[in-house]
Amino acid sequence: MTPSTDAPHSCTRSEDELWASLGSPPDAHELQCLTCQEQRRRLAPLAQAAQEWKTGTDPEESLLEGILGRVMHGIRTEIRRGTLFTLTVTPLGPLRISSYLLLEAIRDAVDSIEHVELRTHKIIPHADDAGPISLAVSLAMQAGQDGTEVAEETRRTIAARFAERIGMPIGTINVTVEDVFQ
Amino acid sequence: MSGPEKPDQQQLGNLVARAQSGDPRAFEKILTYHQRGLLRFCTSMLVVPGDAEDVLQEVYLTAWRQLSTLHAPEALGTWLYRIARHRCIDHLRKRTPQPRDLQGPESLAGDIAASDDRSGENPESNAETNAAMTDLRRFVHELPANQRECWVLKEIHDLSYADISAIVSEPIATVRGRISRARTTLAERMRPWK
Amino acid sequence: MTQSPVDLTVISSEIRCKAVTAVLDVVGVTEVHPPTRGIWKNMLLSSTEPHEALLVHRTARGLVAELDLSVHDDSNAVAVAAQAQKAVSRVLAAHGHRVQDTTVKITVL
Repeated sequence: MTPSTDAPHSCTRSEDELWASLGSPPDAHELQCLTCQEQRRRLAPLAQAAQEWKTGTDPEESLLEGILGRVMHGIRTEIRRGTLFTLTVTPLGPLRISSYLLLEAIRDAVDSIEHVELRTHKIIPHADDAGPISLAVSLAMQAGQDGTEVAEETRRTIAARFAERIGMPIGTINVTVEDVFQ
Repeated sequence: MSGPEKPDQQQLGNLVARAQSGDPRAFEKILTYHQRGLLRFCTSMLVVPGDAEDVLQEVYLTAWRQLSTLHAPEALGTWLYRIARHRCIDHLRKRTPQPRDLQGPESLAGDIAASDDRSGENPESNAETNAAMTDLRRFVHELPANQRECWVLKEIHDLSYADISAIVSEPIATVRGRISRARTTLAERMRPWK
Repeated sequence: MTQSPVDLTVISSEIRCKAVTAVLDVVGVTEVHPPTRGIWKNMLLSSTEPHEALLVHRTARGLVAELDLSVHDDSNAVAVAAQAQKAVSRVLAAHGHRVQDTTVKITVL
C-alpha cells in the first residue's frame, strides 16, 4: 500500500517493525507519524484475525489422539519384529526375544532408580553370536550424586531386572554418566 | 499456542536420546508437544479437508524412521516442521495441481476486487471475529504455496525467520520477502474488516 | 538348509488351532501374533484366523513350527517361552509328529 503523501519523508520504520509493535500502543514516533498511523490502520484487521487464529482451537484437533495412537501402534508392532536375539536353545528348538523387550527391560530398570535419567541405551551382540549380549547405557545424573555409585547401582538394577524378567545371561553392562542435572 | 508444557533442554535431550535408542514412549511424548502445531501447519498447507490427517500420519512415521538424522535435540521442532513441509509438498504433487498452488500474487487481483465488494458491509456482531478469521484462512489458502507456508510459520506458529529459513531451505532474505508479500496481500484483502 | 514354502497339508488348521490354544493357556502368555505381512498392511487388513499364528513348514531335517507371542510384564520371558514351546510340542506329538523330528521356534515379541 502506498503511504499517505503527506507523511513525513523522514519515516524509515519498516512494516516488519510496525507489525511487531501492533500489540502495544503507538509510541511517540507513531503518534506523530502519519505514515505509521495509516500503516497501523491498514494492518490492524489482519493482525486481529491472525491473533484469533493463533490462539483458537482447530476443529481437527479432536483427531490428534486417534492419529498418534494409530501411528504408535504401528511403530510398536514394527519394532517388536525388529532385531531378534536367542534366549536359549532347548532340545525342542530355539527360544528368541525381540531387542525391543530387552531395551524395555533396560528402560524399566533405569527408570526405577532415583536421581538418574536414562539417555542412550543399546544392546551389543557377542562377537560370535553364541555368547552373552552386552549392554551400553548413558545417563544424566542429578547434581550431588556420586557417579561411581550411580553407575554401580545402575548395573545392579539392570542385571536384576534381566534375571527376573528375561532370564537371559548378560555379559558386561557399560554405564556412562554423561551429564549432570539440577 | 497451548498444549502440554514443553520440556526444558535437558529433558528434551534425554527424550531425544531415548527415542533414538528405540523407545517409543519417548518418541510419543515428543510428538505430543508438537502434534497440535504440526496439524495446524498441515491443515494450512493442504486445501482438501481430511488430507492433513493422512499427511500427519506420514509425518510421524517419517520422523520415527529418520530419527537418527536429528543431531541436535534443540532443532527438533524445526526438523519436524521440515518433514511436515516435505510430506505436504509430496501430497500436493500427487493430487491434481490446483491453480492456486502455482500462481503468483498478481493473479489474485480479481479476487481482491471481489473481496472489496464487502466494503459496503458493516460487520458488527459478535460473530465478526470468527467471520474475519474464516475469511483470513480462506485468503491464506489462496496465497501461493511458498508465501503461505512462510506466513503461517511466522504468524501462526511464532517461528523466527532463521527457523523458517531452515525449514523451507531458503535464505532469510527470501523468507522475509515472502512474508512481506503475503502480509501485503492479506492486509489488503482483510481491509473490509476495518 | 533348503526350506519348502508353507504347506498347509503338513499339519491341518485344526491341529494348528489346538496348538495355539494350548499356548494361550500357558500362564504368562498374553497374546500370540500372526506372522507379519507388513505391519502397515496388516493394520488395514481384517483380522487373521487363530491357527495362522502357528507357522509350519518342512525342511530337510524335519518339521519346523514357529510361533510369536507376548508375555506379561511380570513374567520371566525364558520360562514362559519354554512352557509355550512344550505346549506346541505336546499337541504335535499327540497327532503323530515325532518330537525328535520337530523343531519348535518360539519368539517373545
